[in-house]
Amino acid sequence: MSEMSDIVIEFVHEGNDKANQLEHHLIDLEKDPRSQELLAEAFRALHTIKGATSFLGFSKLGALAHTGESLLARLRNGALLMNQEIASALLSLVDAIRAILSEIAATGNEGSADYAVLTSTLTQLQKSA
Amino acid sequence: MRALVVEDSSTIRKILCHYLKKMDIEVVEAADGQEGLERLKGMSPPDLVLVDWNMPVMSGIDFIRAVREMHIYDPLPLIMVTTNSESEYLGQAVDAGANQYIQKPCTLDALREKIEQLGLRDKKIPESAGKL
Repeated sequence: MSEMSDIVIEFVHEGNDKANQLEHHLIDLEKDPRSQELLAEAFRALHTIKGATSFLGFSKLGALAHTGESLLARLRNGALLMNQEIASALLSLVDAIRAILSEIAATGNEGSADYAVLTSTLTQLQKSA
Repeated sequence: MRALVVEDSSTIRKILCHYLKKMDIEVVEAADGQEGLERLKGMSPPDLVLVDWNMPVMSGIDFIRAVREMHIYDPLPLIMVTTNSESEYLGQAVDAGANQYIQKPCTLDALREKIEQLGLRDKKIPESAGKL
């Protein structure tokens, strides 16, 4: 196995691990929407995924993670408060991350699925103070 | 030559180690600042440390400050590897004791250039056989 495919396998493994962590933190945040600790952990999980995409050229996943990170940053700095709509959009982001990682694991690329609606929703929610 | 890589993302750690190995640099790994300090104290001083900024348990900045408080490591070159590009952050890294910083995502060539700028080697680092 080449070093490159070894790195991509590690990325898929770590990405799924971080997606699971993000999902758990989002579910906990629905019960405790002001928890700075949970918001920081959720942000860190998404930031880790985004950071690795930038090295590997997975720009679709990187852009999605960046949009979610921007929304989480608004929650973390208190400009927004977690609600059902935001949680639902962020959980959809988790699903999208898993789908892209699955595509990468199977084919080595991010696939052709379009996430424009999800990106638009996450972007709009950043403005919904 | 031997380097300590302190980075919480297992993927990025693997990439940085891959780069360093292509430069014939031996690597020791740690997943956060605290583990990095433990690794450092348990080994003969490395020639170089690459350290991430945002990490759980102990951040890269706190790691650098802790290392600089131990004067045995005064000559140890520390490179901060960070997504932060603002001069305010980079100034903080230098103030804490970093000798150099490199922005993520970085290429093998960019990392080689930063290491060469530190003057660690009397010869050029080998060109990579391949790139990520």
